[in-house]
Amino acid sequence: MKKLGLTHLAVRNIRRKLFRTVSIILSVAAVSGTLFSATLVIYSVRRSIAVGAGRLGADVLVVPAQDESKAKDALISGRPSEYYMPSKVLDEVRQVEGVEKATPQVFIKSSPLSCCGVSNVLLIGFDPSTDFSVTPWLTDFSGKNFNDNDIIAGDEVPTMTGRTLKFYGQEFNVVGTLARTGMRYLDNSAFITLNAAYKMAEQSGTKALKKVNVTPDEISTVLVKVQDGYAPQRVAVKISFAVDGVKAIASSDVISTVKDQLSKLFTYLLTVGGIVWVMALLLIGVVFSMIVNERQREIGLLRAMGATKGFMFRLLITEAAMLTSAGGVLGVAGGGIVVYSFKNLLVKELSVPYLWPSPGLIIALLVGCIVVSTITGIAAALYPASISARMEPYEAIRKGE
Amino acid sequence: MKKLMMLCIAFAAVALMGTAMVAAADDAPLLKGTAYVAGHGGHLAVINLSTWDLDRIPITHAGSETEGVIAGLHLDAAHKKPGGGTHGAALIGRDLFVGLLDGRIKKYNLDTQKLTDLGQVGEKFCGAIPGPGGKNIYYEDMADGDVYQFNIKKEKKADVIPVGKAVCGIAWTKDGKTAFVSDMVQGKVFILNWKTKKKIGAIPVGTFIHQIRMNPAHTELWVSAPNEFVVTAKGPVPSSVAGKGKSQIVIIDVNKRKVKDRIDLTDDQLFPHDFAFTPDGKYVLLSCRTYSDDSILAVMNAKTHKIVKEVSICKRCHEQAGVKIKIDNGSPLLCGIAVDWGKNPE
Repeated sequence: MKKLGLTHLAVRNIRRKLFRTVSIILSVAAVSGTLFSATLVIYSVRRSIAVGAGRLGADVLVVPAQDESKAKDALISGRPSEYYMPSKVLDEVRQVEGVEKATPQVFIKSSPLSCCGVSNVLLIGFDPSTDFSVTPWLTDFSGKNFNDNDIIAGDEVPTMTGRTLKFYGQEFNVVGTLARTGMRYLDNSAFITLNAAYKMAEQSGTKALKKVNVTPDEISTVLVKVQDGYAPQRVAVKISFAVDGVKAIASSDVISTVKDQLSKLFTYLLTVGGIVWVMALLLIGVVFSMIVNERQREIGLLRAMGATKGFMFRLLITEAAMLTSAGGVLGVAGGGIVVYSFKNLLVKELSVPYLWPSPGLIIALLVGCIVVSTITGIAAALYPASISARMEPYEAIRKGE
Repeated sequence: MKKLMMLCIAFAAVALMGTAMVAAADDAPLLKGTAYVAGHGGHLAVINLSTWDLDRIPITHAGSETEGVIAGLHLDAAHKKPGGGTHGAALIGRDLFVGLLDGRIKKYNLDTQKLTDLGQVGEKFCGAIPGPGGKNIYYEDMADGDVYQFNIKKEKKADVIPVGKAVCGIAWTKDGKTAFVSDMVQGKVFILNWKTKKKIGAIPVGTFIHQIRMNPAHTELWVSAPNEFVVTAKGPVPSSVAGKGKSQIVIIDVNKRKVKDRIDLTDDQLFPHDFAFTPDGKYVLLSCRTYSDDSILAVMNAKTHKIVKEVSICKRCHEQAGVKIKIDNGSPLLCGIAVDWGKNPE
């Protein structure tokens, strides 16, 4: 005769009421799906900012005062923007207390005409002699000397090392492509020398359909590294004060802006998740109380046949754990699919950078959400399970008839 | 004999009159000037120090101190954004540079009565103190604990000096080489090397201190330490009402950098938040909260530490105008005081 095992019985019980089973699984899936997707998005954006800020390598960015919002927008959402200020700003910035290094960059939006090269890419001209932002990446490209015909492309620029890219009639050799950062400001940009940028602008009048209006007396931004012992925010204030017509932005403030943008979404998602979680907890508790009432006769018989109180307790807990863990798995799968499918829309609507977390972290999140779901089921079933365990066999059979 | 007796009586009468005159002088100092006291109602109280007449300058809308952030914490869950209200003003020439509880600075010209918004500078300002050299005003921030240097000429933030958690007042030694900054929640006065802007020490004072002022001789630093609340089961209760805690003025010896005296104002139900010394250093004006339906300006003898005059600077106006205070539990609260000595309001 086949022995009635705990798992076997639990599975049989779950199969008996399909609608009830599906309802519980779906409500738990909603909880774990919300939790998983919200956490995944938050981690992704945070990672992207961390990687991007590391790549940027600057503590403070100096931009024209009237273009502060444009500059922040370009950094966060990666929308290519052009803005210029006099190049003498660089020398003035270098004089400010707390500034260790300062280097200029010039921004040129590539032509929107696809005939004339890759369109809507931000070309960033940097000065290799003073640069501390782009140059460290060059070691990734076998320490090759970077000259005026070379270009490094961001991850989203459709090219590969060894090929050429043409902008405003000027041809550049792609000497490397950057690893993805999630920040479109970097991923959708291409880096050339400052000289090359000015030369390209000068010759664009004859070589290209559209003229680039930037002269060697103009720069777009100054990247600043602050001295040890100085807070970037403080140096930013000092620069904004000392140099007329500019606004200095601490990189960490840009990160704060993104965090502020996200905090509302995160609070909303957590509130919804919390409400759904409480509802799921109550629902599972009520359903299992009903199950115990419904199965009084069965519980009595099992007890009469020798099932211990502990067995009865474990039976109900096992059922709850099976249902909620299934809900957890379904939820994380659903949440993952939703985030993956709507990632681009999310990035566009929230204007935030996005980079998937490491596989290890994703696995940890998956496991964590499933564990939380399972614990939810177990917690909700604790009380009904203890009632079922306390039932006297005779009384249970009599009441159940 | 008769002559001698008459002489004695005359001498006694003169002595008595002299004493009475001295006593009278101590009771009611003759001052000339105008005091501007910032308040949470969003306006400055204007007090004629000769007649004690009262007027007001509207600057912004009303707001409570607990709205927004203090020391990085949200104390009022219902108002996570900073409210209105003024908290300190620096008088430079005929311009009042007013620091607001939402971190903005507004300039009010006393001659043209023009109000100019100078923009967002910090998060939540407490004191507004003209600095050494007269080029900058220093605003102390209760939200982030930084001191904001504001350049008067450019009307622009010039520096941000991180000091504590919720800073409220700043004062300098006579040579301008050392600064003292009070931190409300840490109950300390931090000492800063003013050249490097680095902290070089701290003087522990007690909990919940506010603004600080140096006496004209630069020998004493007066610290307002109202220690206002005692937390009871019914919530925070003013310490004088609860019968616990002490509202004090703490006097620091500037040379020794140690507390040398504590003036207890608990029984007077006065909770001073800022001071203004008369130019001769003999009297101190105290802007005091009472946690009742008024806040007052008190005059203290700087030597005897006796309160010689008290005038209402909120209720007098509010009653006439039929204004009922709704913010700050119905108690009108004030803080920073700026005085134009020698010039009465026109």
